[in-house]
Amino acid sequence: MIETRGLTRLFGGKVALLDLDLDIRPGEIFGFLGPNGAGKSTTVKILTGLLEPTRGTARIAGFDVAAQPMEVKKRLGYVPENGALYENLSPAEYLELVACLHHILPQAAAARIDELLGLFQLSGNRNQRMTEFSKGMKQKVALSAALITKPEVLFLDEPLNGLDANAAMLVKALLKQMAAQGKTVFFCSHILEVVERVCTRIAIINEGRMIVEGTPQEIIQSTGESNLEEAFGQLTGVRDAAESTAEFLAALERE
Amino acid sequence: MIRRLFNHLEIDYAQWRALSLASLKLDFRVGGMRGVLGHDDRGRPSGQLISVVIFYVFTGIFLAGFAIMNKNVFLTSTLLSAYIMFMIGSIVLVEYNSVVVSPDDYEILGYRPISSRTFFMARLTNVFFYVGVMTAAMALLPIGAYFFTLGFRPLLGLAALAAFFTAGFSVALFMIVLYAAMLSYVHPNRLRRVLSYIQLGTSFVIFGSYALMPRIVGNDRLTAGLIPEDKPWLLLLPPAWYASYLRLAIGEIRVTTWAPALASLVVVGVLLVYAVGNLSLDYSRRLGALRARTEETGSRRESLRTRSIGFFFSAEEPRAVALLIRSQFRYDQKFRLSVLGILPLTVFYLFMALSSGPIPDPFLAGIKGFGNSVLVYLAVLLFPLMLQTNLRNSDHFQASWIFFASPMQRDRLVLAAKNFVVVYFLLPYLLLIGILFCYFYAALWHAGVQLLVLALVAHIVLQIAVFVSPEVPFSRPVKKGERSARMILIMMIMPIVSLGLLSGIFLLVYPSRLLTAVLLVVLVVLTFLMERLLTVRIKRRLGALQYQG
Repeated sequence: MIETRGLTRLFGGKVALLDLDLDIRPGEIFGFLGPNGAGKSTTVKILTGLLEPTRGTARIAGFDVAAQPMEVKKRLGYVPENGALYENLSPAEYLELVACLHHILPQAAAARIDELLGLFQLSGNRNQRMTEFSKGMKQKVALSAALITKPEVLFLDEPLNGLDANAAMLVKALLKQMAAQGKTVFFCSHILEVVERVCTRIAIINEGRMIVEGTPQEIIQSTGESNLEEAFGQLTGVRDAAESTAEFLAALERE
Repeated sequence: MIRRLFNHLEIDYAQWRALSLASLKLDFRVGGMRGVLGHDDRGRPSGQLISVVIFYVFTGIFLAGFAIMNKNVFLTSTLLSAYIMFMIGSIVLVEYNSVVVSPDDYEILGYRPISSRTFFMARLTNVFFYVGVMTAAMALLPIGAYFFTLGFRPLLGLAALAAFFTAGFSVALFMIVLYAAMLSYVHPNRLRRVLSYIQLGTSFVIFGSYALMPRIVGNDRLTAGLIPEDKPWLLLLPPAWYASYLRLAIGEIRVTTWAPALASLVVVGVLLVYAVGNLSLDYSRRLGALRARTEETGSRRESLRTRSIGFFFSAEEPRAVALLIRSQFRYDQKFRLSVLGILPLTVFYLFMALSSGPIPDPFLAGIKGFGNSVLVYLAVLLFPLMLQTNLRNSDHFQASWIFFASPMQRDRLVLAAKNFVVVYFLLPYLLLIGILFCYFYAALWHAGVQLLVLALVAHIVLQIAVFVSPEVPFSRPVKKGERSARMILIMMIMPIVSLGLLSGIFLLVYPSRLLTAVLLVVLVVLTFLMERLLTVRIKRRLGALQYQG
């Protein structure tokens, strides 16, 4: 469902992503992990057509992202990392706009909007402008906007940002059910416990290069650690947290 | 019919309609009548637009009177077309060109299945909506007048309708196409710089035409009624193209009337074909590249320690504000373009003043020979104010939380923004005109005193503006129409106030050395008092200066 070959993006001379090869099948929840600035968001932006790759190819649902962008965009849902929305619209208006852009008939759109707002407990706020919303409420609207088009492939960049525990649980359950229906989920997150529990397969990238790929268990075993968090630390070269913070605090004291 | 036309042009009608309505909804929801005065106005309808429309309707009354009184239809309609083209050109220049070249909402729409042409057309529609409203406000009364100028002639009125609206839309379309073409042909790495040059160039053309118009009108051959209606050089004067519609309507059908009219239609046709053809095909991709370039630039780190911002802004709040303004100018395209749209005006005011001869010494001439030379004085009072009002709004207003959440003194922040305009704009301009005064005035001390008076008055004007509407820099959202509304208000009100004030000084104060000395002392004392008052006022208004994010 998602296939990349030698996907590379340079910003000036700086490598943001280098020779990424991915094969993600329908029904998978694919966790895409990496430290800040590793190239996760760059990858998602290339796959969703927001950025052009410097070289390499990407195919989604059989369509080339560069050559057939419209076909790809019709089939994907995306929750961006920063949850960009038109905040001066109400959730109902925003979702109507999205539905219209995807040529969903008004009656079907209205029904889906009701369902989604109900699911995320936003029915009472449907006509309120999103400028007045909390971060979690805006994230729920962003998730609704990604789901309203019934996408074949769902890209989620930090989808649990700002969500309360109940909503986070809801999203995790939803992702599992969507995967069971054969949809593909591309999941970027820093919350490793969630990734470990939800994702069927994981890739970790660092400094634009993919360093490991496999199921959570395979990755944990290959590093000899007891959980994904420790395995991630070992693979991405993070120093001992206690040692680093002690050094930092000592430096602050010296000033 | 529109649907069929759009299908033919490969523009998705449903998407275009949804995007156009959403963008207008968004525009109208950010703004409000009270926004001009600087109060909290979130959630109010766009009052800026209403105030500008009211202003244009008022000017339309005078223009209609002009059209009725003067029976020379060609002359009046050429002037009215020129006026409409200038006003629409300035509005697009200061505000609406950024609608097309801004990648701001690309992150919201870029991954949706919207074709490049649909995306471009939706943005063009947004600009055209405002152009249509402004043109209607300016031109409807004069159009009504043309129905009766030469007795009841419906065809003449309809020709005026076609002429003025085509004039307004043509100039807007030309500018939009120019900016969008830059987006297409210039590499994103160089686009920021190229757009700045284009903005400067366009403002020179627009304000230059505005400056030249009175000279053409002032030409004896025109004013004495010997209008060169049939001279081929009229083809070089675009407003005359649209005025030719009216000549055709009153039955003057010859080459010198239909050729300019045809030229206007050909230009619009070519621009439209180019806009909905090749230009829009690549628009979306270019916008994405520009967005990527913005991110790339934003990710560069620059050491604050290495930045020199000037002696007056070396520490604490003033340094923070100066760094912010400089960064906004570098990276915020809308702010940059609006500033670059204003700066050439100062050059034109100087040019217009100097082109009518030497600047008379007010100590000797009083208000005699005021003429165009008064523009030099007006520029000192007008443009710092325009720039200062531009420092209030930003698309990134949410980042201003740092000013509200850190232990900074907000009064010092507000004053620092005013002082930035004084140091980086007012003082250099004063230095420039100081050299001219030294050259033209009879005595050096005349130049010194005049310069000092202008500097103090200009500073007090800025202080009054801040007093009326104190704002933390870049802490309010950008409201469409607000920049041009402010610009028009300042350009209309300030010259009247300034001329009255300067006439009084030149007539009553300068003839007496004692009164001149008293004036200087009064101005200095007033400056200090105002600064004190400002601090008190801002501290009292701290409650109202809230974070808008």
